[in-house]
Amino acid sequence: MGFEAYSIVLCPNEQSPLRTNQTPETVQSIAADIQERWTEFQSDAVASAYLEYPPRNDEEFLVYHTAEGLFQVRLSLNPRLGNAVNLSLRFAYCNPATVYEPFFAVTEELMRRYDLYCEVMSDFAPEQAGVPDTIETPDTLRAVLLPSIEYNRRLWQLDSDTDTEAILRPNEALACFIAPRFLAPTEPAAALTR
Amino acid sequence: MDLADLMQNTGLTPTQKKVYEGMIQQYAEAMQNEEWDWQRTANDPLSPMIKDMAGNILAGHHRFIAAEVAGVQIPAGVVKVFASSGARVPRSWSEVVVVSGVR
Repeated sequence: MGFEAYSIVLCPNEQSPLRTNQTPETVQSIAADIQERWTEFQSDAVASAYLEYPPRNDEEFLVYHTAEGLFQVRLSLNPRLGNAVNLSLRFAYCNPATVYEPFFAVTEELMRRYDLYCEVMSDFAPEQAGVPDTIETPDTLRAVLLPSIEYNRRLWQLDSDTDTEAILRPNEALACFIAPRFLAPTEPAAALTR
Repeated sequence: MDLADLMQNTGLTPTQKKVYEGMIQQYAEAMQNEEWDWQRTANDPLSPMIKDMAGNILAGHHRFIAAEVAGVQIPAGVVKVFASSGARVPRSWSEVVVVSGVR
């Protein structure tokens, strides 16, 4: 969800079947449903393998990976909010713009299928001032997201100092384009965070 | 979650407009239980926590916040420093919206 990737979270509306009292089995069932609906999705073994915390049974990682581009879906239970199921979707800005179409199409259908609204986690473009962060219906999704994606993509190109396109996960984009520009670690421990 | 209060003494500035509460709580729980793999965060180029030279967070907002929630010190060498300023405009912590996940 950082400066390398565009990110949205899909959350259940009041009448959504995913709203409350869900279980890890629900999360697994939705993941299976998504893979059945779109055969381009696979379980994201890379995301699962690179967790910095112990694996959880209420979390599933999927990846959509084709020649159009790559985006990830994380499904999770939120135990602090009545065990609602949330779906986070993201893609690295270095992906070709062809990734937009499947990203939009999947998001729109998930919103319809599970009665979800969309929280835009990334910034809006300056010309979008006043646009609400929450997208209520899939009908308006593309019109809101597209200028925002293009704006953030330009910022990424400035940060990474390249407009090179590559079909990568967000963390792979960081390793490829940003890590070579880290300073050597010379700071003492206390100065790192405080 | 009052981010302005929580993060006021960290010397860090956010550059993203929203954070997701569920993720912060999940990470904080793992950090508190000493289940967080800081070695992996430090050494794995795929999961860096990054700030620029001015203290603006470029990657790892949820993890920086989770460490404060958990009350743990991020070990030395974990945070990477980007060699130039990021293109994003820094914000104040009070501007950052905490998304709960349901309305």
